[in-house]
Amino acid sequence: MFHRILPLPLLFLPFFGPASTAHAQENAKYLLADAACPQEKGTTNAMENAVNVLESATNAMENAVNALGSAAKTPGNTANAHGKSAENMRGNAENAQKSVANTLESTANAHGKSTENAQRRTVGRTWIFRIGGNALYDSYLSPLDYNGPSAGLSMENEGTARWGNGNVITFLRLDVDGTWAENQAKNADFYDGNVEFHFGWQYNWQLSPNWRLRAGGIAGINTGGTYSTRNGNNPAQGRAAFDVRAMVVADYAFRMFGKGCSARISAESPLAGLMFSPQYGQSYYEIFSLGHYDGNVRFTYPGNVPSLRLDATLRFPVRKAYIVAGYGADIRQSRVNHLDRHAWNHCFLIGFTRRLSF
Amino acid sequence: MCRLLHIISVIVLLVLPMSCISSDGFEDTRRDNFEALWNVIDRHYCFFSYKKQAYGLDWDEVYRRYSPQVEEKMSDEALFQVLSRMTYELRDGHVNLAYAGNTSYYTQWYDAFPENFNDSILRRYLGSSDDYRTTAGMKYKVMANNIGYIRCPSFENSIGDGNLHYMMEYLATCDGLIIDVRNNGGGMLTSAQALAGIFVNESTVMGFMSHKTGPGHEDFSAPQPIRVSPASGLRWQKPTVILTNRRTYSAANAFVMFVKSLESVTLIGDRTGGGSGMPFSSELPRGWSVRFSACPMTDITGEHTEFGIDPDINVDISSEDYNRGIDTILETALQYLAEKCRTADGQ
Repeated sequence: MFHRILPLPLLFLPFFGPASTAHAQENAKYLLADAACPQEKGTTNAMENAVNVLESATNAMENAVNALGSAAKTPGNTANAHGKSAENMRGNAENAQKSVANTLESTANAHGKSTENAQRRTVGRTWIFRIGGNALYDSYLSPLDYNGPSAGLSMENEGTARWGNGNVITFLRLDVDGTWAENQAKNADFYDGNVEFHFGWQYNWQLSPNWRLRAGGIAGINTGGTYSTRNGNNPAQGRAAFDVRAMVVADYAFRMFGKGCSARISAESPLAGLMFSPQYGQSYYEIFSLGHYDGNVRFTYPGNVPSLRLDATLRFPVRKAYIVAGYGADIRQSRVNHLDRHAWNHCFLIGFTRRLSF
Repeated sequence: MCRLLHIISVIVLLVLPMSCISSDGFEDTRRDNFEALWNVIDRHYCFFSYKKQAYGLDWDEVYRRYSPQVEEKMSDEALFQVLSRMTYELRDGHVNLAYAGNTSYYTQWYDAFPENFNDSILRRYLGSSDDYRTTAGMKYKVMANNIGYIRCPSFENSIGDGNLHYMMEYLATCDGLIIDVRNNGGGMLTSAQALAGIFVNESTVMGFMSHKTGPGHEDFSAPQPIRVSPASGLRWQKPTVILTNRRTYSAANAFVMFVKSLESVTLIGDRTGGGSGMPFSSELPRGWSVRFSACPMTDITGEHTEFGIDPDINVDISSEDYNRGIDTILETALQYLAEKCRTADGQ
């Protein structure tokens, strides 16, 4: 059952939040009651009390109406007395009902605001170190492949958006990576570096008690470059790009050694964007010293930037954090201005996730 | 939901493998090194059309002629010789093949002509190190008849406003100026532009540059102007002579190309060596470096200067003058400027 594996994903609480599906509603009590959200827990109890009071008031009003009906059938003063008494009872019951309704409304508002505040304050932050290998090719610099070790660091923030009824996840990621690669003759080097920032939203689907799928779009910038130790007037290739990407994340929750764990696969691919590139044989002297611009900003789409980023990770709890480990593939390719480039990065991922409150 | 997943899976599985962007996959075999060199030049070299007109260069014919000479059993040195000779077909000093043990140079653009320069003779004119000043690799002094002389052996050094300011302040009272770029093999185009900047009063178009926009031999951008901006606070308006020889090459050839259209400037000496294509670098699977002309430059009339620029006054250093330690070209320039100054004084 889903609730059995939920202790693990306090990490996922922001995204599992008050979802609209039946499973999510079912599990929401569990989440609110046991997921270390005292504000929400208290608010839920207040709501339940208010509901009980409202039910009592409604019963009282029904009794008053019945009494009024009985009094109408009774003749004379007794009847008047009974009628006044019944009317008074009905008025009191109506007032009580209004009061309780107000209480319930305000409590409900408070609950909503409290939930919203909790969503605002809570973010799953993941730091991931990437160590692996990179295969570089840039036809502006060389017709040959360069291979070498790479390392990178990613910081991802994931939290429930303030809109979307809790079904929308806000995603933010900052990547920094570098590669030192050699040609096959091992007498020339590429030094490659990238900085990326992406931000976007994803929608949540609860596919089954154990499976959850997120899909959405992220947009961001990518800057970097490759320096060749061999070349003269074309010693480096600079990169700057803005793109919009489709992103899909699948989470599977399970128990291992009595602890809640999860597996995740995420994939993203650029759909459209803008990218800087020199022309096929254009020198940077022309661009920056002479100010000659010639189609140096190009529209990109999957046809000329067929790229894919894929991460497969396991997450398991260690004390207050969750350790993240797995495999990552970052396939970056471009064919712009007849210049071909690829960076095929495969790496081991290791990191941790903390649930941060702001 | 399942339909969405199917669509995504199909896109990922079908589109990405078909869209793999990869290199040509050259291996370190004799054949692949030959193919890699031929392809690098074929796709990136910028003077095929010009040289086809100039002397009938046909790169496909070159392939057919040299390809049979490549065998897997041949030594590194033999392969290097074959590949080097193939690059010589381009008749371009900017095309070189290099490895740790050797570098190939096409040198016919100066080997077949008089040197027209001698360091020992020039030293007699410059004197000892106390007799001249040096800045940014340039030596300068005031010579006989109050003529300023700047020896610029290379544009490898960056020339800044400060260098020009002190140098031209020192030479400001001279009646004429000689800039000697003989045996200047080039360097940074920005340095050539900076030195040319002392002759212009405003930003001036002094040439054009274009670049390849694709791998085809005719894929070029429209020529864009090369503007030379005036040096900060400096304007040299007096008669000037530029000394040239066959080894005035690359950025030095560009400097001559920039200033030759100015009225106050006269070129004396021998034709320059040319080299008007900005070189790019590449490499072969063997690890050998390749350099080639990539971005062609033309003068303000749109003419290529790849094969050099003719002087206004063609002078060689005669054998007798070599023996007597006289720099005929420099002497001619000194006489020319002295005459110019006398004419100007007479007027």
